[in-house]
Amino acid sequence: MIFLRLLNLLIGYVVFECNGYFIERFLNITAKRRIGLWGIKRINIATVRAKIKAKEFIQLKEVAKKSNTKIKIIHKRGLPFILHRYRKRKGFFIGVISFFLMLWILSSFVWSIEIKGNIKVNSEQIMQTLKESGILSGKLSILCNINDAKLRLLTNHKELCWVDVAIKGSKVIISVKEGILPPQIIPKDKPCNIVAKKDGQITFIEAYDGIKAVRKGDTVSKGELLISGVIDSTLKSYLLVHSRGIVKARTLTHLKTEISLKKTENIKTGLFYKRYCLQFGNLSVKLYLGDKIKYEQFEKNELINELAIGKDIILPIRFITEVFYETAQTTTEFTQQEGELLCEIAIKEKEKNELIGTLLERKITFKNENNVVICEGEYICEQEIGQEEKIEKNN
Amino acid sequence: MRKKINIREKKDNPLKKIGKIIELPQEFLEGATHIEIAGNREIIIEGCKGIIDYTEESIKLSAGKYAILIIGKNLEIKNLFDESIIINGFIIKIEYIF
Repeated sequence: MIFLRLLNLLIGYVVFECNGYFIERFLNITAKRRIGLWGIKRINIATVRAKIKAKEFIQLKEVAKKSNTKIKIIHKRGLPFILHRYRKRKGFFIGVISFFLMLWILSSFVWSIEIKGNIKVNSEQIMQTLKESGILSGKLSILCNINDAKLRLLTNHKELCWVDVAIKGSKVIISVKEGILPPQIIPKDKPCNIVAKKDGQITFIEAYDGIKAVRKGDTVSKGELLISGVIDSTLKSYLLVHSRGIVKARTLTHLKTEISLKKTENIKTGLFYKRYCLQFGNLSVKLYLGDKIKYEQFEKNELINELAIGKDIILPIRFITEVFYETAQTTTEFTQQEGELLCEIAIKEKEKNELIGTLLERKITFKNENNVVICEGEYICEQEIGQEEKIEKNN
Repeated sequence: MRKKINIREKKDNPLKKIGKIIELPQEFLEGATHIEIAGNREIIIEGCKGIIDYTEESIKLSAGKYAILIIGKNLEIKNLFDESIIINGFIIKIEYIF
């Protein structure tokens, strides 16, 4: 219902009063002529108040004549009447239109580029690739080729496995996800040996293709031949195959973590104050007086708020809030026990990430040197140690 | 002399016969007046041929063969357009007058 009222305001309507003896005749004639009336109320025995669309009001004159009634305008409401009232103030309308035009034009350019999600790949390298495909600050956003940028990023940087380039208003947001490089697989038609990745004692060896070079129980060092791809044959002098097999061995791994017992750091005292400034592209307008900061030791936190229409159209105007927190130096000390506990937690985290295979034995020792607790772990695991190595033909 | 109320069924024209067979709603084909009442606050009448009387306490409408009289308090016409009318207010009585 409220939409109808808004619509009527937009189109413009008139509230009028009809005065006479034959009000019913007036109403019947308007109904017959398909003139829409609404909000009809009786004021007194000879008057009725009603609302009518501005465009249809002109037809009422004839109806009033036919029904012997008099029409009087009470209110004129709606957009057309407002425009008529201000029709002489052309400058105002020009100002409003030019404001929206400027907004639209300014947000058609790319003003800032944001790169999210990259850890190993350098942001500058990504910016360089984008420049090659034509996405720069200051360029019209419709001229930027998104698909070309995506393809270029994926081909130039092998570590990226997913790339998304989105243009939101005046901002280009690039989200990337890095993936683990697939291991170097030697193609099946090339002959290869299997060598040891690490030192260890063989627990299980089975060769599907190729000949075993070691037995269960042998100790091998890194790089030693496990399964040979060179087969001596009676018909030819030798035969080269692509060896395949599983080789498992017991290996020794060392992990180490350190925690220092005495920590001096700067902690916030709780006092802070804020400063504001506006930034238009490269121009920044300070909304405060004086540059000096009140505290001796402080930590600064900057909050950048980019103005945007809705969520998608980001304007090149930023509202920056700088918060200064006062800090003071404090020393925290841990006891030996607390230090050992923290060390143990850290080393468990490392174990999760770095140990592969099945864990057989685990030994952890703690040492204390110069107020630093060192935790060393020795792990014996059973893991796959086979690695393909290409056979080079020497002669 | 009082007018005789003819309740005898009139002869059906072909359109009505088809309507009866396909079981279309009879009232719309006859061109009768359609009234929708919501509680005692709103009445929507379609097929109203004209307003005979209009005051705050009673509204009398013509529906061709008969008249509809609505008695109530603070009666207002919310909308009026070529045979359709919506009446708002505190409705007390609705009467068909033949």
